[in-house]
Amino acid sequence: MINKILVVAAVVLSIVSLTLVAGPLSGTWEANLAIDPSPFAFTELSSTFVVNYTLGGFTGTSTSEFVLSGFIWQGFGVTGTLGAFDIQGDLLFGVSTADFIYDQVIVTTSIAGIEFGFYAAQLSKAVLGGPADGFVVRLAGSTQGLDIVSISEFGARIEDEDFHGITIYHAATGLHKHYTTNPLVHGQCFTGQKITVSGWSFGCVNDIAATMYMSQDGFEFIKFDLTEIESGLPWLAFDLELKFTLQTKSLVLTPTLNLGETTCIDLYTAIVTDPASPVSISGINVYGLGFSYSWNGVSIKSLSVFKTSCYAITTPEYGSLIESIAEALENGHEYYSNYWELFSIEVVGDGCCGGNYTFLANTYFQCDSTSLFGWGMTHIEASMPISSNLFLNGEIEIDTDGLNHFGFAVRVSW
Amino acid sequence: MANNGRATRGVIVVRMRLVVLGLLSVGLIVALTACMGQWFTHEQKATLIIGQVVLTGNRGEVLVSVTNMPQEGLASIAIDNLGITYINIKDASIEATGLNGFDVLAQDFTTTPGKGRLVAANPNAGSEAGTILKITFETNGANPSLTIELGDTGKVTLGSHLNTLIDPWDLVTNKAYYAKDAASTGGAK
Repeated sequence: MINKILVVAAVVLSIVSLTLVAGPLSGTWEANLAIDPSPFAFTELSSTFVVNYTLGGFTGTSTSEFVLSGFIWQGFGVTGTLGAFDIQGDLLFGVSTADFIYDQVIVTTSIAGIEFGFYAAQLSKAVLGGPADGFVVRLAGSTQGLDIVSISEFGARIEDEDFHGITIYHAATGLHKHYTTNPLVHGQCFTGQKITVSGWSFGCVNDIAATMYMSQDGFEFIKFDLTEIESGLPWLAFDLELKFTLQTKSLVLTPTLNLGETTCIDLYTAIVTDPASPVSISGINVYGLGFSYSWNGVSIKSLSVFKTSCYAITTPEYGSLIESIAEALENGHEYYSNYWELFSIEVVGDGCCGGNYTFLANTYFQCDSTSLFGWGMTHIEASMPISSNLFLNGEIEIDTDGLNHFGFAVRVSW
Repeated sequence: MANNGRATRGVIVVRMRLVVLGLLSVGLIVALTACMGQWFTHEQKATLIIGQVVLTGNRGEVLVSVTNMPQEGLASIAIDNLGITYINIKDASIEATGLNGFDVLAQDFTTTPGKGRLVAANPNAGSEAGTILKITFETNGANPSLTIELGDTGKVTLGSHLNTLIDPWDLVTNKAYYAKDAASTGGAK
């Protein structure tokens, strides 16, 4: 209980201190309201308040996030340069439970052509998976055309090609925060060493990279990545990954199809391989067709998905692209599972006060719809600046059951 | 004079770099020395997480999440033998929705009042960690709750993306936060 009181007091004191020392302050406040009309419910009521304070080359940031159920996150950050060192710090509190959640410090510099990075982080016991703490030392440099990266792990990992950093979730609301340094265990020392050498290039291979990873238990894996192996056919290339673990060896050969660039029509294709024999190419699958064109600030786009069991159109927030469902899930993208076709028109123009106004209308079609032309849903959103410091955004979605979403957002900056 | 000043500053910068490198080297050696004999890891078990009820007026929702799921992640979940228990919630109003690629294949919250069951699966990928289900409802009393009970028999079965049963695993209902080594979750909308 005392700890919780101390944490709340620290948060309040920090916010008040920042306000009292009001000098070169800047920031934004953004509020979102979303309503599901049937049955009537607030599906989102969130507010994000960011205050930046700059002092002596360092910028401190305070980020507060509220949703309908309460005050969820309070984060503090600092970035700046001290001599030759770039410094970044992050601190996260869970306000609804009055808990310290996470902190990280990242110090980077470049000495004699060698990039040096020190990453340290702590995860609270209030988080499932905690308590944990650790640090990582990263060294990177080039010699004779080769890029060499050494990552020494002492109870933590950092985000790179093989690892994802850390995402911390609030279990009740699903709200999450993402950071680079992932502390794995508590009180741990050496836990891993990874060395990557890349930049080898032969005439028929664009890039060869070798990565070896050792953990505190010994050898974990060594892998070789060969990118864009030429096949002799200008439209066909291969990527190859050869990986050895202590008891296994795997070889993944991924054929890639390069049909070149087109002006306005995109053909989405994939090479079909036999599941029983992945090196056997059995065909080419055309899973999507796209058309796009822009002139004078007006963009029109059409996307059609022919294999909806494996591919889908991502939501406007994720660019309205055709993406494989497996990749969308891996990349954390939202997609529409019910619609196979999109017609979109977007208009962008100069706003009154320095910003741009935008208008976007997306119409989606579904296979099993009995409505006109198989119409499934229309998503309309518009945003416009009211003044140089005030920005408004609104969106509605109408589907075959009627209006199913209404949202409104306001962003104020100073 | 000016050249002398520049030369002095240059010497100081070089010395500073040497001092910093020296300190870093000492720190690294001390850290490595401190590690002697302390090589161990805490394996975390696969975990099913039931979030707390979030209320908006007379409507509420509970999120079901997972973390540390092995075998390329969780691909199916079956909560049978009326393993879902709820209090002060209208039976007919309960609806489970799949998240992060999961589809709810079957659900029943009306046959036995206060009890429920469901089956959900992700046909495209496994979820090593993240939110998999959202259960929404209307309340009919104060302090509504909805949770999963394990009981003496296996009321909950978890299947992996590699078509194997995930076992052992933990049920967690008292943690407000969880962390994962993965990208943020997306899914069907």
